[in-house]
Amino acid sequence: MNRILEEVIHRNAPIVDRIIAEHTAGYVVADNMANAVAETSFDNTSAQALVKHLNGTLVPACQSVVRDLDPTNQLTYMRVATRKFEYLVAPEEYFTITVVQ
Amino acid sequence: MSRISKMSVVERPSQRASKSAAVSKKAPPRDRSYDDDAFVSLFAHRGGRDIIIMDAQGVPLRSTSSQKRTLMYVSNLKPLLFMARNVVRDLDPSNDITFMRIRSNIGEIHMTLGSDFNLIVVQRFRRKFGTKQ
Repeated sequence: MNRILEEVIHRNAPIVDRIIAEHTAGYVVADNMANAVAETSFDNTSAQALVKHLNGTLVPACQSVVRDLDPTNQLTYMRVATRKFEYLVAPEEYFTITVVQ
Repeated sequence: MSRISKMSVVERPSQRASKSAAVSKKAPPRDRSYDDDAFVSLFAHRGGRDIIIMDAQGVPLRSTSSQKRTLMYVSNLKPLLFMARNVVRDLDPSNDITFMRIRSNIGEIHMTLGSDFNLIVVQRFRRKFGTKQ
């Protein structure tokens, strides 16, 4: 699974560069199987904290809420805005992308 | 107050019943200017499904849907909102959540966290590839 993920990341490298060049503070790509950080533009400790907090607790809670409201539904995108930053979280099938801006 | 009921009866009689029922069941009833109803009707025209206004504790004050559905939404979404606030504070203690937006295949839910109130807005997409309007 990690190999496939690395390939996908390498293929999307120009897109990632474009995203970073915009008004973002950074991004984190995590794979869902191990809840581990696959690629990030932050330093490792804060990226791991981000992944552990967001992906570990909040995203599954949101998914379960969405499924409670309608069982055929599923979470596609989530956006948490704070005073300083905004976290854009996109959970896919095998991985989760989080962008901080 | 009569102006509100006249407008609602003309446009949406079912919603009028639910709105008055919602206000009477959730005490205390708040008096608002009729700008509030214009806001709600304009928003429903644009694809919005429900609006739920809650106070800072998460108790629903006003809603555009029935009592049962409001309770379902609030009991699911309120812990989520508070959990998100805790997550943000964990990541950065000086940061505080202002707005949260959840998007799924069927619809979108916006949640606003103010100082003395919370607001939830539920939007649905009309067709699969149609315009959300």
